[in-house]
Amino acid sequence: MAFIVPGERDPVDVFCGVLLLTTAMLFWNVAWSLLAFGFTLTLLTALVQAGQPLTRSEWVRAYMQGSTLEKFARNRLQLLLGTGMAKTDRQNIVATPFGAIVATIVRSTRFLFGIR
Amino acid sequence: MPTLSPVVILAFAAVTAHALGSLLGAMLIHPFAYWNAAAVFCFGVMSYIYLFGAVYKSISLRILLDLTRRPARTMEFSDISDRQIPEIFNERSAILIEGGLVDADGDTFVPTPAGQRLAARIARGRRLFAIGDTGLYDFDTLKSK
Repeated sequence: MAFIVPGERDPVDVFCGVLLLTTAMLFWNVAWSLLAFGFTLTLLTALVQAGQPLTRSEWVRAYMQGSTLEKFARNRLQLLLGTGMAKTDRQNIVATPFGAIVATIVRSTRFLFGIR
Repeated sequence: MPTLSPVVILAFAAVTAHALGSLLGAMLIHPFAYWNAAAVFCFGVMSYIYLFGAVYKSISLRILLDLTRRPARTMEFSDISDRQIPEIFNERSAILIEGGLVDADGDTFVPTPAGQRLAARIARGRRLFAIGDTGLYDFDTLKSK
């Protein structure tokens, strides 16, 4: 847009415009991810949708819509396997060297944020 | 004693930091380009929230961190599905209880009125974005594209 609007343009303004657009994208990505993949929020909606008090195991089943936590584990692992951070070895899951590097970055970031 | 939610604390911190930063900037820099400074500030705050959310709550990254602590960076799948995931389930249900969204009555769990209101808002948000209510990653859709 900055390139088709006539008139003088300052590179700093263009840069700040890019930052604003990126900020908006990050904001909606966070909101969308929470709604789509938020574990805690989906636990809550599953309990509300059940419409009755549930035991822990019933709550798990309601969350998984009749399936087991094993399916959930496979689903979340798929992200690690698909991005090459982990691989399968028979019944084992093994972190790849790339996964180890990512884990180190994540640990450092958690340390910087003061997360135990 | 009622506790403030992390979102409220973060919003308060961001607004305060922005107000103080802008005041300082206006005092030290002439002319002070407020909107440019605001763009940089908003980007910084959003990047912080994005990164913090990823490293704090991501279940996949938590599995990865646990995996890399193990000898030979290896773990049995059953260890993840039978121990780690139920552990995370217990932690997250505890968050809902502590947040006053769910009541634990003996062995059973029931949503509080606040929990029901939040769930209704989530359902509206999901309908708005045409998002399903499984909370699972949809890898099949990715593969079919």
